[in-house]
Amino acid sequence: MNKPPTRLLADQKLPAALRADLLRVEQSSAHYDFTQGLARLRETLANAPTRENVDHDHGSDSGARGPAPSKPSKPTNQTIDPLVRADQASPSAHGADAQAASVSVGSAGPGPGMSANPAIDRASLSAPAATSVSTLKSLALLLGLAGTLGLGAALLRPRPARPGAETHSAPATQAPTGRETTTPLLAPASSTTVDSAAARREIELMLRLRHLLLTDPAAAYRLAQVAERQFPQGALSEEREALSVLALAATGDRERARALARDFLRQHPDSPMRAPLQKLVSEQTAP
Amino acid sequence: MAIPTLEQEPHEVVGAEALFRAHAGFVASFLRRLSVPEADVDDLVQEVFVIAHRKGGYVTGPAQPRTWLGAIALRVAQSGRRSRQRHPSALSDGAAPADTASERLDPAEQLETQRALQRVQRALDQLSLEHRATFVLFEIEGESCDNIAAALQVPLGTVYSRLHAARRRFLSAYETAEVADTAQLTPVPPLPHPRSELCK
Repeated sequence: MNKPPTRLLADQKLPAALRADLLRVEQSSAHYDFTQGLARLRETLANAPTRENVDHDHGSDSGARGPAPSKPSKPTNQTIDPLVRADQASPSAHGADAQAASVSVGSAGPGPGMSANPAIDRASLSAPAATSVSTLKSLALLLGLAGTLGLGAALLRPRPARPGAETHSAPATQAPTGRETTTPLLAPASSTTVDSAAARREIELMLRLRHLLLTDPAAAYRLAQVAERQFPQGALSEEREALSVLALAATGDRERARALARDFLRQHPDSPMRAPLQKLVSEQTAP
Repeated sequence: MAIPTLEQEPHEVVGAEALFRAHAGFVASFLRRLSVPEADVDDLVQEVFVIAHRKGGYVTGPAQPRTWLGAIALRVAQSGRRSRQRHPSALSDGAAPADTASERLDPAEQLETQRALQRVQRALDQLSLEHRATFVLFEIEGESCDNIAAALQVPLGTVYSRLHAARRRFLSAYETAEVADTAQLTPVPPLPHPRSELCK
């Protein structure tokens, strides 16, 4: 068989139900607690030396299966070194060691560079990393979710050029967004990969913000503040401001939210987010 | 710390933390599709990246970072499976694949996605680990056969043959899973009452 095979997804001879299922699986995103995982990895790596004289082979982890390097002195908090389990295929890999690991992780604080507020980190960082075709997923999410928000309309509206708006790079704590090389989602063909990556991150942040608004308004408000810092001139800043006001209102601080809503309506009289904010403002004037 | 991209310069090294930032979700998802029990996924994700760290990080080469990590994950999953076979008490709860559609707000859509995941996972479970890894990397993750061959350090022809065998097995298993799913969803018609038969 010399000819590269075609993916089942593209094989029109296969049942549509199968291809639809594969497409759903492809577009699904696995939940993974990125924040906790990163904190745990940092803690482990702090105690696990980089292997010396490692052969940078591709695919085999035989380099890691050789004689065990001298382990660092065991820390007093019994942090485990998962490498030992993997390298030696220790029978207790999923027994007591695993429990010790979970205890260790549970007591681990945020690593350097991470927000001191775990709620914000969880909200902003545990965005599931897209497994594949993140562009398709983002589009699906946009079509499915953002339509009700007016996000789609906002994305399609021409916006005045803002210096630095598209080239903003996310801080180090930004969650991964999936496949490295993707077709630019919103940017024109001439824009750089950085542009589309930043736009995609901003979109995913906004979708998460919207989701949090329904489930945890306080976290949504904090995430909106994070988004403001990350994308101060972002293409979706107007929608972020509106969602921030709605989140603030949902937390109970309706007085301040109304004041902010009035400001917003003055600045953005044509915003697709006008209706819910107008409703918020009118609550005050209603008898 | 550089985020790995396909446009890396030759011999660029990407550290474990940068790899984690870019690919932790993929590794977790890949391990789940290799039927690693949900309770073990976190531990094995850590193992994968610690091994990557001990190997000195990812160095640009024929394998891409994702497939390179996928190959490590496959070996970690194999190791974990052997361990569980030796120590049945360490068996995990065998939980179904995690709900990966948590961001979708439409419950019907969420349910349908969950069913699709279960059907596909049931079919994947019928494949050997090597076949499953090849199938998942190619059919679901969209990696090229060249890339998979480089990561698994097998000839390209081996990837083709594994893929061919995996597809045949998967399609057969999927058909069974779909029939079972349909039968489960289809309401069973009520049996005729025995007395009505007697009255005839």
